[in-house]
Amino acid sequence: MAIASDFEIQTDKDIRYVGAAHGASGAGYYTVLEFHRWLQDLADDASFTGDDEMDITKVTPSDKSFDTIINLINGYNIDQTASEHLYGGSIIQEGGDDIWDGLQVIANQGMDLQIVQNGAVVADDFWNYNVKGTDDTSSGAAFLTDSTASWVTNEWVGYFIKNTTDLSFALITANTGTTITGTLYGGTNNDWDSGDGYSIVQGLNNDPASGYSHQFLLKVRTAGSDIDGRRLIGQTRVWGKTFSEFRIGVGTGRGNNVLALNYADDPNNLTAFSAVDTPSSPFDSISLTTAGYNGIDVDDDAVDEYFYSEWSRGTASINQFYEFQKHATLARNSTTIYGLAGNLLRGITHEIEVDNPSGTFAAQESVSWTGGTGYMLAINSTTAPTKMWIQLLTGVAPTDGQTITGTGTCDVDTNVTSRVLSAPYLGSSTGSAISGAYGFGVEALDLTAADKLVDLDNVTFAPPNFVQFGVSILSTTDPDYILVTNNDGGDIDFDQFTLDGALTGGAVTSVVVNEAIPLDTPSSATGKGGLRILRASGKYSLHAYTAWDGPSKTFTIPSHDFSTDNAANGANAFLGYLDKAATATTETFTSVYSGDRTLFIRRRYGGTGGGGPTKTFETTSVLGSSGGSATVQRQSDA
Amino acid sequence: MAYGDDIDALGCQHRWSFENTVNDQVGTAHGTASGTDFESIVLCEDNTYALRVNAIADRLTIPNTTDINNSAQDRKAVCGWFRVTAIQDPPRRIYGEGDTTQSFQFVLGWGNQVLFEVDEANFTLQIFSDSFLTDDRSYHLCLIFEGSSYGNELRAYVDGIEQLNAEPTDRQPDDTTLAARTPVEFGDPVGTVAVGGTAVILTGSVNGLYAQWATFNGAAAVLTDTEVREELFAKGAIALNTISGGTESAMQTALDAYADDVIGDVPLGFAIEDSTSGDFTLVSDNITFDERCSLHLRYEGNDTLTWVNTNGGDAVTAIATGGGTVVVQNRVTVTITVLDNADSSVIVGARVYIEADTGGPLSVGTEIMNTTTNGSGIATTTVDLSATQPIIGRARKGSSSPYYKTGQLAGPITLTGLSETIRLVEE
Repeated sequence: MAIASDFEIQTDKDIRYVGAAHGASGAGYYTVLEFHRWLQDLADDASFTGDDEMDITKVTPSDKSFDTIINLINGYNIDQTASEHLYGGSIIQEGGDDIWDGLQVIANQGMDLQIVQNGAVVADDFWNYNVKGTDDTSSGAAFLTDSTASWVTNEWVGYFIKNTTDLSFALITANTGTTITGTLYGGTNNDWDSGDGYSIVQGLNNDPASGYSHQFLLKVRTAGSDIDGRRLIGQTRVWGKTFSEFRIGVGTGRGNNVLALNYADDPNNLTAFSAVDTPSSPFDSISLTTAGYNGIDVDDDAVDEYFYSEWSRGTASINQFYEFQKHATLARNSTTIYGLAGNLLRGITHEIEVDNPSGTFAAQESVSWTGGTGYMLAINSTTAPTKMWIQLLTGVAPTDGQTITGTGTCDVDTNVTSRVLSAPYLGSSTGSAISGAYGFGVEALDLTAADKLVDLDNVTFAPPNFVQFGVSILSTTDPDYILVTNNDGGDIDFDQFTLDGALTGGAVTSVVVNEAIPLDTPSSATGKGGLRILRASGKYSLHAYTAWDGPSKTFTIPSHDFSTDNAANGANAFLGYLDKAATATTETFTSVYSGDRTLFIRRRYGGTGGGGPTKTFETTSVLGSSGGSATVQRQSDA
Repeated sequence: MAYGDDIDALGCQHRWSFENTVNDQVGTAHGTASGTDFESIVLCEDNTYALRVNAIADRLTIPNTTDINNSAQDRKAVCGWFRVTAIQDPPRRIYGEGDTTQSFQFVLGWGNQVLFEVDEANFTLQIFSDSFLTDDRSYHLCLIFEGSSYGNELRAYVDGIEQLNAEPTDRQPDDTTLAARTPVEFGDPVGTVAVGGTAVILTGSVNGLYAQWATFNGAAAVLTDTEVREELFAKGAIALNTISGGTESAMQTALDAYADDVIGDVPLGFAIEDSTSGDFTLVSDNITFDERCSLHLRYEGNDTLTWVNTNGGDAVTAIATGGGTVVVQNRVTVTITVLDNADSSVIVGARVYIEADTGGPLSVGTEIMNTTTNGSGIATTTVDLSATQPIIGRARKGSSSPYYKTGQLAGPITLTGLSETIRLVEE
């Protein structure tokens, strides 16, 4: 339709859009320059006709500062509806009290764009729907039918479609002239019925040749006040697609403002939406262990690193965990994480040093200060904090001396450090490992050496490579005794260590050896095995050490009386990685891989119970970077 | 209503029409002629005769009368029509009361300049006419005295126009009354009189003609400028030309006969009777008026007459004496030249719009111009105005490239028109 038909100029200087609605055939969209030209074309007419009360007798309706900046003057004005049919610049009216600025979104076509403004997702995402209609045929169908449509076959493949009646979504996999196929998810019925409305996610005023997925105006100033300083965030969070955001942190400028977003298939997000949305195993095993400031010894060095969360991935793979977190922060989900709406969660934006605390903060909570609001994701002490970490929601970050108020209060102490965000908020996935975003924490044992986490001190930690060695198939009824030691030519490595000092005390708790304790020594032998020490009597007594210390070459053992049957200085000692009667058909131990180790395995059962005595079984096996295993044999010795 | 009745309606105590009689038409102060006679000549409306003072010793004496001369007066006015046929050997006395110590008099001086004087023991006030009396041309003279308890001023009028050339300039007697004087004499005074307090021999004028003289005393003497101009002068003035009543078109046709005429030194240029068409407009085609023409137009009807000067016509003064309204407008040309601000090239096709703003004779919003510029970048129109007209004006070109921002016109449109250049900034 022509602009003259789509707009009317009313007697009271209201310029209103009267054309077809978004998505309807004939809906009109015009650049702000075209809009200005139209007004000026009318303004030099001798007298007006029709519903456009504009001619030479009327005061000037608009003024062009630039092709992309149009001022409506002398009381002429548009409303929100009219603004939604303009693009390509700014409209300023009421002497600057109302401003719509232009947004040009650079992204792949079909992106579902959300705008976060003033701390909330803008509810009416009119800019996403260039095509709308109604199913006029289906009944519980898996595909949409609109007999009035005349689409080009498969022109919509790769786009999303929204069932506006049951609020389900689908990635379009095929279309004919009148039908669209895609697996609906997230709605109440997830099917198509006659009368269901639909909207295809295709940005208004898209321009593929120029790389624009959307072009539209957004109101950034109203009644003389900027809306959150004209700051906004463009983000896309669609299942199966990469998450991305672009923040205009200093406020939009007059004219066009670019939002550059990445919108592509996410090869690590291939799970069916329903499996996560109505969680079944293993997704239902994922849980948030701790929310807020929390220590995790990610690198297993006995020193905790601190994060704002500690998640357990349960039985889910690390990539399934990644998908779970994407789902929780999808654009259209109503999930709440850490007390914050998932579709607003972005992660920590600022680390703030604080002092002068008063009262008690919650572990995570909303905070505010003069000039801004945020959501505190971590605080290093709820009563005597020196640091807190927030996601900025509105305004600007606090500055030195400002008071931050939550359930308690504190002041900014000099330093406020911006932190880099990731999208999705937890970080990225390679499919088999994650690279965590700043401060995002996962239980240590849920990580592999390929995973990386960045703690709240902005230091990247790689977890150790915990490897497991298992021995099977053991008998627990006629319990096999299993001994796994370092291999020494097909036998026990008896002199793996030698004692540095005789053990003669009545309550010995430390054993010092002359050799370096290997890094792959399990941190504790409790329930698995221990350190065998050669006694004066010639036997190797077993001591289930509870810890060891590399620098001092010391094992900590439960108190033991060495006052009789001493262990001489220089006596042999060796590790029994497994040194126990089997209580499971597979016995395992875990260690941190530091290099291949050949193990000597011995199984014995000489008792008379059950199947009777068995012959000794001995073998060797390598504990490598992926762990290792051995299968024992039980040959009767009856 | 007859002109004499109009005068009486203002409250005069005595009026001598001199319509072939020296009797007082209001009171009983009938005159006594000495050498004067009557001439069949029209000096003002409704008169066919005039009292003539034809020799230097001719006079008409009015008897002592309390409300004219024979008592102290705190307010006093005298007026009437007067005419001479030649420049007099001065000084001549037109009208006078008093002698060498007090006087209230109209004196014809050198070159026929009129001296209006009131002389008392405590003050001497003199007002000199701005112009000289032209031969064979009737003038309405009026002198008003108000003591210090009232307006404290002396006012003099010629054809209803106040004369301000005075000595002293403030024209203030600063005294409450004018003492009693010797009786009124038209023409030659019988006794010794003075000018400026100094005895001067005054005589009657030769061929001095009088009509419709009247005296006012007390409150009635405090005549306003409007009463003097519109009631005493305008209603009595004899028009050089008369447009008889009829349809608008017939009256226009009658007026067209005077196209290009120059109206000379006369009391009144045109008397225009009422139209049968109700409110009506007459367009004058280059009818111009001598600066000594005292009143250009007198509209006698009770509707609204709009007189439009065109092609150089310059009527200005107009009075409606019949209860109607007369508006004099000039048809002026408005010429707007629209140029490109950057290179001063003409802008063709720009629309120029002008409407009346507040403060002018036209109703606010009245459209004056709404046209596009020609090949020379010029838009023109004409508008009929009775006074300077403030405007709201603008020029635009937004329909085709190159586009321009709206430009504003300043105005105003004066009674000589408007020629303004507006420079538009290209978008």
